[in-house]
Amino acid sequence: MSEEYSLPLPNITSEAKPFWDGLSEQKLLIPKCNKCNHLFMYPKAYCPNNGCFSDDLSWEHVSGRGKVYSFTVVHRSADVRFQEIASQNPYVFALIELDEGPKLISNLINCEIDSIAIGASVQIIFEKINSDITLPKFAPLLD
Amino acid sequence: MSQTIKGKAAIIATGSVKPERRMPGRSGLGVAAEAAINAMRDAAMTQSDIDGLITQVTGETPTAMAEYLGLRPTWSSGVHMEGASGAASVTMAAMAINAGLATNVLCVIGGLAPGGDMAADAAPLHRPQFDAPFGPASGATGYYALIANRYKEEYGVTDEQRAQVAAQQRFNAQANPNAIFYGSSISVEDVVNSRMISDPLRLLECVMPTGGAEAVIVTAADRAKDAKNKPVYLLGAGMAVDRSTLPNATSLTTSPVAISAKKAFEMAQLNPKDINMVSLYDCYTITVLISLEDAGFVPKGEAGAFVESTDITYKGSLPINTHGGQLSYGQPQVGGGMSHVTESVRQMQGLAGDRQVKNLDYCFVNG
Repeated sequence: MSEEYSLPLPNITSEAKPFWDGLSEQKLLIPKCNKCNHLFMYPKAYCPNNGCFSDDLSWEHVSGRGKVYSFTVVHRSADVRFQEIASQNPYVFALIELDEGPKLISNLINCEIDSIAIGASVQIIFEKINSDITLPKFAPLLD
Repeated sequence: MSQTIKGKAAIIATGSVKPERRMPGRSGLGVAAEAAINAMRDAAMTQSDIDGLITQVTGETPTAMAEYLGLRPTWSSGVHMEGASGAASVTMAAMAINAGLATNVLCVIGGLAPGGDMAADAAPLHRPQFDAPFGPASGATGYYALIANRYKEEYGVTDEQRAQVAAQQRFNAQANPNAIFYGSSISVEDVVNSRMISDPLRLLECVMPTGGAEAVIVTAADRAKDAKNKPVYLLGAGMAVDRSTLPNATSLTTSPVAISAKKAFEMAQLNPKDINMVSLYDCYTITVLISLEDAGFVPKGEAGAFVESTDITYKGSLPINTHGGQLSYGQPQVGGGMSHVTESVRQMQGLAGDRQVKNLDYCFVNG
């Protein structure tokens, strides 16, 4: 990239580092409990499934496919670094439900804003920012 | 022996600080202290009468609040239930009183307006990692916009119906000189034509962050009848926590109010139809519609049509957010939630001035 990336980057926590490392390798890895097979977000040290309590966790390489659970077109952002983008070129902030169950906050890209609908099928787009950070974004599923 | 807090405690006094965008030269503790002193004056009490303290002042501890006010409480706690902190603090005070740990509990919540980026000021740890890279809208607007669009998909609310909430609450604020939007009426058309923040939520559907603070004094029921003002008894209470983040919400369109309100009504042995006045947490218009349904006042999915066909002002058949709600009163940090408590108490005491609701027996407050 010729221009330096100026938007906020994630403050990566130790529990979530494998999630971000996976994205850098073009893999969406979701925490999975090896005892009860529960998949969950966000990454944590113990399985949150009722009564499981397991710390025997692994990272499941999931499909990266899902559906738009809800979305909003942002015209005014909380972050000044997004402010100019939002006012000139509103973007889509969305809640994505992965086919495997867990939900993620993300952006919808490569789409006509007017054509987005709740329930639409989407797939992950790995947006590489630098050698450490790749953001998980989503776009309409190509048939 | 019954351990219920039903009827065991009463709110006997209130104190508020008029919300302002900027409060030059003041501290968060100082603003909260003003609300607390107003409440002590309202109760004709001094520091030595107060033996319990529940507080949240942004960035400060309960001990710092006690020292600032010159209090020496023998029971104290912070309260961290976000917007529900005000209503929760009254419940906690009643618990402490019922357990014999305190007699007169001061609950005070507020602070200065957020410095700029409200989302960052109050950010739970997950936000900078999992949300910030994707550009959430101002304040919590992006999250509530996701809720509003999902609600629209499931139940079909219109922009005009949501706007009714903002416009009717603004009418109420015209009878409240302490409201930040006192002297500034708006119509449904003004709301639906205001600037888009995060689709479908527009500027006039979003709360304005301010400085300010709200306080109440909660007293044991057996002492409350000797209070200077009419005591307002806590007959039922309920709490519910569902999630910190939207991806882990059980539902976007049914809130934890469905659980907490049911518990409160069960304790009070009352039904929504017994209630004369409602004060519902209103960071956004959509919040009022969902809470109105989840608390049982309107069937699920019908709140939009209800507010369109019903006068919900202080003059109406089901008054909602008579102080203007936070949408028109201002949101002094989590003290915004407490403003629903102070307003409801003043209404029940008959001290609500030009916006006084007549014939009040029971009111419902949530956070």
